[in-house]
Amino acid sequence: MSSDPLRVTITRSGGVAGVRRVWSVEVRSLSAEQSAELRRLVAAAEEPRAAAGGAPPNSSRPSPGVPDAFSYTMEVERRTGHRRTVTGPVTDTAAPIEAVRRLLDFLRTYGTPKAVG
Amino acid sequence: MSYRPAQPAQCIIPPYLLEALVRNGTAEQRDWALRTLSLDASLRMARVLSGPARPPVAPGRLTAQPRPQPQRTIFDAQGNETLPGREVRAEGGSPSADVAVNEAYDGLGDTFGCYRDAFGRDSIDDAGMPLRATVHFGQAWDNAQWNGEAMVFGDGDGTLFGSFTASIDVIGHELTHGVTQYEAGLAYLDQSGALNESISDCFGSLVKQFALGQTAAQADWLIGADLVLPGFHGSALRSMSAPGTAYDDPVLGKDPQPATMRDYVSTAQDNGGVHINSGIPNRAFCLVATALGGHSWEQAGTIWYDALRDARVGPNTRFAGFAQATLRAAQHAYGDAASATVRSAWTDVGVL
Repeated sequence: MSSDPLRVTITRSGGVAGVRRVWSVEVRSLSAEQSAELRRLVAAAEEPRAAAGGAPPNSSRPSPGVPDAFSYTMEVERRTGHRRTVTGPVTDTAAPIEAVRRLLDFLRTYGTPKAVG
Repeated sequence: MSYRPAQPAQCIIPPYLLEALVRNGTAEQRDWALRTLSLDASLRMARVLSGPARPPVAPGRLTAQPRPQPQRTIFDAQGNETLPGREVRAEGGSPSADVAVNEAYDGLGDTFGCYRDAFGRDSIDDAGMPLRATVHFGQAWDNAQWNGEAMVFGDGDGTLFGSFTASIDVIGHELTHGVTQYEAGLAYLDQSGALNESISDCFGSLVKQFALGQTAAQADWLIGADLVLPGFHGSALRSMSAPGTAYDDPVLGKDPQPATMRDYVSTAQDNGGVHINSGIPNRAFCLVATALGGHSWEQAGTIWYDALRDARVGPNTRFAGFAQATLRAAQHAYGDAASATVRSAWTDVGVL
């Protein structure tokens, strides 16, 4: 079983602007209630089909995306080391992946936007 | 006043204008228009029979047809994410008090008009497809998107980006994704995806230039210059003439677009860097348009449009394959000099 997250980061790419945006939250900056909510959201977003953008996970080659849809990459840092979960494109206007969207909303509310390196 | 083009074989005056001259012009104008219509029909038939563009060409192109008209409907999502939203303006309806509604309506019309008048295309599918757009999608949604059926515009985050209806080139960009969908069907991944993006930037810029009546030398060759806010450190989302120079922002970083194949970016993000590596073919198009001179849609645009419709250009076409298609189109439509110009541009960016 994986340990509790220390830091959660979501990177968004794509969109017509084609720019990357990064939002991150440190668990230590959250209240106990917020931390519990974050753990629940991360667990939901890491569920295999959600993490694969609704597609079967572990495909050898990514599928073509939808023009100018956003793509999201979620990174969860834990005490036991780093774990990276890659999401596929999220078509905001057609089939949003609710678990990823809720986590992103949480990060936008309680986290901070970070500069793109 | 003379209505004779310098090179009749390259006349881009659309048939409906020639027909209007036949009906309403002076005797001299009527004679010229009739001769040009006859020549134009012959040329179009010759292109259908021997040219690289993919058939079919609508039969109506060769005869007098009513001028195609856009059928626009604008909806308002009112900050929600349910499509299409409430209908707020239909074709021919009065302007709205909402700027975004009018910008979307006008942008759809400008794009329709550019494709119709410059390339003889009747809407996205070349079969009169109605144009629908939803504005005020979501909360602070900083995007615009063609979802396969309609346009969707967000209001931007209010800090870096304003309403995505503000940039006519972005509207043209998105609708061109629809045109590509109906023509080459370029897969939105890696090089074919970057080519798909570039096609949208090229024709998005053409839509803006066409609406403003600009020549290639007058154009700014920027994408999204009208939607960035003062908080954005840069001039636009992308620069077609100088990829990689559009912005250098403390939040967004530096514009990552390469200008040549030497700096091609291999990445898993952004569907294989479709918005990054599009800078390479973007620059090739800009070089061709500025070298050929005049209005970009007249020669450069026609070459790129014909290449997009080339039967040998398909979902997995890469930069080099598309470059070859533009060479064929240039040679066919304009001859050796134009073809050499196109080859020079693709060589400059390292594709050929």
